[in-house]
Amino acid sequence: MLSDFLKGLRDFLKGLRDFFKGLLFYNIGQHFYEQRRSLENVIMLAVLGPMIGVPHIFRYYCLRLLPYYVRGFHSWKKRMVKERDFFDQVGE
Amino acid sequence: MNSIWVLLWWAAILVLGYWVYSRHVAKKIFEVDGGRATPAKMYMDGVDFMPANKNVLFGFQLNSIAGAAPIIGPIVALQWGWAPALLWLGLGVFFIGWLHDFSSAMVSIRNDGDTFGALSYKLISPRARKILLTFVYFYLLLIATAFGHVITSGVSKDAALPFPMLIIIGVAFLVGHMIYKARINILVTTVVAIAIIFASIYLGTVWKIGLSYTTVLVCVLIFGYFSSILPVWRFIQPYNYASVYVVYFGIIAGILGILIGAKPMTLPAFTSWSIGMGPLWPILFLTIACGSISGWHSLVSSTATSRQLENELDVRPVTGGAMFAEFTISIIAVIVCATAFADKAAYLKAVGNPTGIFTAGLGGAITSIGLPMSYAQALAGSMIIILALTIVNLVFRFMKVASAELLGDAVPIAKNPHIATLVALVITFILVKTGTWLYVWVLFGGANQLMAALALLITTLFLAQKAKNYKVAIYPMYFMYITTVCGLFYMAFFKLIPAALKGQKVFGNVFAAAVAVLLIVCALILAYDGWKAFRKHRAGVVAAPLGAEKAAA
Repeated sequence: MLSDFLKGLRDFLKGLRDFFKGLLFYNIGQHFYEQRRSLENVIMLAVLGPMIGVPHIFRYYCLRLLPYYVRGFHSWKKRMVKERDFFDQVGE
Repeated sequence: MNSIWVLLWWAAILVLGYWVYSRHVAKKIFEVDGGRATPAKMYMDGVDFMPANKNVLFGFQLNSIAGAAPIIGPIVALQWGWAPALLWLGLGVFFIGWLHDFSSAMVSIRNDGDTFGALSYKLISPRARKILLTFVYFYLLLIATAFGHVITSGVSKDAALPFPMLIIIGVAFLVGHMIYKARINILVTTVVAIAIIFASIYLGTVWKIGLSYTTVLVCVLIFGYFSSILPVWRFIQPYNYASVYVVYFGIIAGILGILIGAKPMTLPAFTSWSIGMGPLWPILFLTIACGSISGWHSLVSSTATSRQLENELDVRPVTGGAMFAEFTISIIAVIVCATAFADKAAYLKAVGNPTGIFTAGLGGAITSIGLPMSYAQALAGSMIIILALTIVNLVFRFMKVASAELLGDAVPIAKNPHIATLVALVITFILVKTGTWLYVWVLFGGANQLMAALALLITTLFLAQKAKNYKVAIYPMYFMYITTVCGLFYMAFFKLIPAALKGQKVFGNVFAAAVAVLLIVCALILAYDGWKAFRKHRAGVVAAPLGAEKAAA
């Protein structure tokens, strides 16, 4: 009985903490992710550039980085070809 | 009547609307399925598409949708009496409001997280996307004008507000620098920001600064310019973060004040079927937008939220729950304002300055928890100005993007962010200075409600396409569409044009009437295309127009 009550209380407090996290901090976290992704896009362009006709600038470094970025190729390609309109920006 | 009885109405709507009606619709009509993969899981990219906990998303959704509108709309609508305002708030959110927010997210989720631009292209017609964007640009202009006046009149008429507002804007820059540049711990940053803001509100009551209407308006537009041009992290986001504490402190203090004070409603329950602004139908339904139903929510639900929900079962608690929370804010606004004025005459005298009404109302409620009146009123005034400024800051940014997308190909200079922002600022300045605010507020409400009707149109088409019972969406859509088009028509041809012909604010009224007519034309084209698409979807002729896959990709 008491353990059920304590579990319910813990769940409630966790829910409350998550709510305030969403209310106060979620936008800030998202913005950090966006900043990181915009930097990653540039690196991906440098590393995977030849696939879309952009020549390598620093072949040696690009080849060193290639194994790390090749696994993100699929989502990068989707982001690059995805049409973005005004309504996408409202969400950001 | 004692204000506590109003809380019973609120509780009844909440219980029956959220726990009974919305659960039934979600289960039986939309057939939410916890086992179905959502776009957040299918296309997870760590940023746009990212599964998040429902409680986190509920907080995020509430923060994104709740602004000054759920407070100001009911304040203005009290001119018809508090009973019509409470009825429309309750019945509106019960039958339409939550459904609109919920269905916008559901349609987007079932369409791979598509936004309204892609959905209108896919479900209505290829030209619908462009028309919707045109509609949205003028909708944003009305938002900027309506809230620009709220800030300007509030700050220019209350000498206690300029000081805290200037400090809060300064704190926003400080917070942005501390979080993103200096990388100082967010808790330390928060404590510093809260301490400065609450102290500045107190100091504002001591160091009063008198500013003219035009000076404040120019300041607001300058801040609008910076918020449009600067990176999000530099001003808009830290401003929203630092100021949200004042807003929620004010709301919680207001709720406690209502419960402790339990004052009687001093304004009349019903005044007249027709007042100076117009007849109860359709104008009241435009005056109260947010809190009851708001088109803005569909934009938020169909973009950010729909791409982050990890389970379809979370859609109703997140979107519907946030809508009922906003309804709660509106109910608080009605109670504090209907209990604050000795009689109707005193209220009508103040109605042109809704900030003043809210300051008196919420300030009075907050004093019940022991805060001094001068501080309580300054807190309430700061709260409403903060909410309005949050919206205005965002709107100029969106107008810049919308004009670049609308005109960028034909007029390349429209892609220049400075030019696009300046154009938006100049149009807003002209409309605020030359327009009649109460009429502009109704037009804003009309555009907002029409946006909601268009969202319900998309929901109807989606349900028809999937051969589901679309009646749950089509009747609210008919009601909202007819009401808002009639309301905008009434405002344009029975209020704005006659006022201009009488020589009252000629330019502003004609300008506002032209915007109303443009919105009606856009809505009629979308309705025509929507009707054609509906017939096709219902007959099962076509699933989507040619090239829709490209738009959705």
